[in-house]
Amino acid sequence: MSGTDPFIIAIAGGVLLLVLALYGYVALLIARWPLKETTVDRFARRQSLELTPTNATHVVGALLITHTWRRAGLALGLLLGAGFDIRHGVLGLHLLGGFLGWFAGAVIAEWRIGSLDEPGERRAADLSPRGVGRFLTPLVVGLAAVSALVCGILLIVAIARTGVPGDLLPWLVYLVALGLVLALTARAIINRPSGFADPDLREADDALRCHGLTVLAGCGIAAAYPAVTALVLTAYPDMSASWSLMWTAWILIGCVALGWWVATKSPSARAGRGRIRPAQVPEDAGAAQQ
Amino acid sequence: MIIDVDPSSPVPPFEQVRAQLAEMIRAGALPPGFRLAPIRQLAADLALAPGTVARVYRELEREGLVVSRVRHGTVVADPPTPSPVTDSAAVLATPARTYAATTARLGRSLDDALAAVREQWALLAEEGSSPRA
Repeated sequence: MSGTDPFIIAIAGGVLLLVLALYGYVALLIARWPLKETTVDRFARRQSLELTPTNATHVVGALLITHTWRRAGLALGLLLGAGFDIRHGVLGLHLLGGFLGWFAGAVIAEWRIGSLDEPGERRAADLSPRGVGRFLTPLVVGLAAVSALVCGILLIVAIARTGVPGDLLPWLVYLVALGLVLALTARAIINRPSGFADPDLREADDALRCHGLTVLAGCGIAAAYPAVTALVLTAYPDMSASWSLMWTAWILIGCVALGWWVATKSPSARAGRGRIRPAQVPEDAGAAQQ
Repeated sequence: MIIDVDPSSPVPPFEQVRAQLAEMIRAGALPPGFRLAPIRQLAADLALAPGTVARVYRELEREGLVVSRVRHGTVVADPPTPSPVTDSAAVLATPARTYAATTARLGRSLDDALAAVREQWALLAEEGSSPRA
């Protein structure tokens, strides 16, 4: 048989190795892509942050962490996706794998940014409680809540119509895991200590939290896409092929476009908010110093 | 609204935080109903033990400056209704304590503090508020 011909096997193995090497090279290029000045400028503009000599290093350091981890995640996701595809006899670009890798990188980066907190000896604190509402606009909170609600309703509908079949269970686990990761990371961002006495550093820290939470919310909405699609198709198994395709396309476009807009284009919660005010020194205290 | 802690100050962190909060509440910088940061948040930001911040909040509650309620956190209390002055020394003690703590936090001496009081006293006299010489 020609399929067992050692020569053919060697050629096929060589081609596969070449393709994997190419994937690896592209992944390495993506992972080592440098952080551009325009990225920093775009971040500062979106977050209404004035970059100063005091806070520029902190901002660049934090953006470098997110940049490196997201790209490393993207590269690893694409590689794993390619490996998964090759196992099933397909050669292509696994976009979902790439996105999930990028998302995992973004989550890791948010946990790593906490290590940048080196405010020095003298520490300061904002007296206002930190919460989601401080760092996300009501629109973004609303969109994230609606997305979660849609997932919940679809899950209930799917279970009500088909019970809990084996092919539904992985998506149930996926949604629970996604919710947990998002909730824990959001909590970590909000609770990250912020003891910067310098006002410029305080502003930068605030901007980084707004940015991190907004990206996380956008990622969460986009990451719901495969689960929502699977739930719709499971809940309505008798749907015709053309309807299935149309629903899959609409859900993909809706989730990804909405997630992308939230993560990259939605207005920041800092827009229109004044600087974090320092303590008002009573006039009497000022006179006492003279 | 920001407060800070100077670890090189001779004033203990507990007193620094307490004095600043009391000062802001009395000066009206923190209005009644203002919800203060949770103990854990403030402690983490200022690199203090949660117990220290909890003690500050308890002390402020004892002074009637804040109210702590389960689930609602700690909020700035409504200003007390003016009551007839019965013991002037007791009335003076609280602002004097805050002023002394502020002076120490600024690294000034007792003489500096007294000089500032004398200066203000003289200014009030000039303005006709007629404090006794």
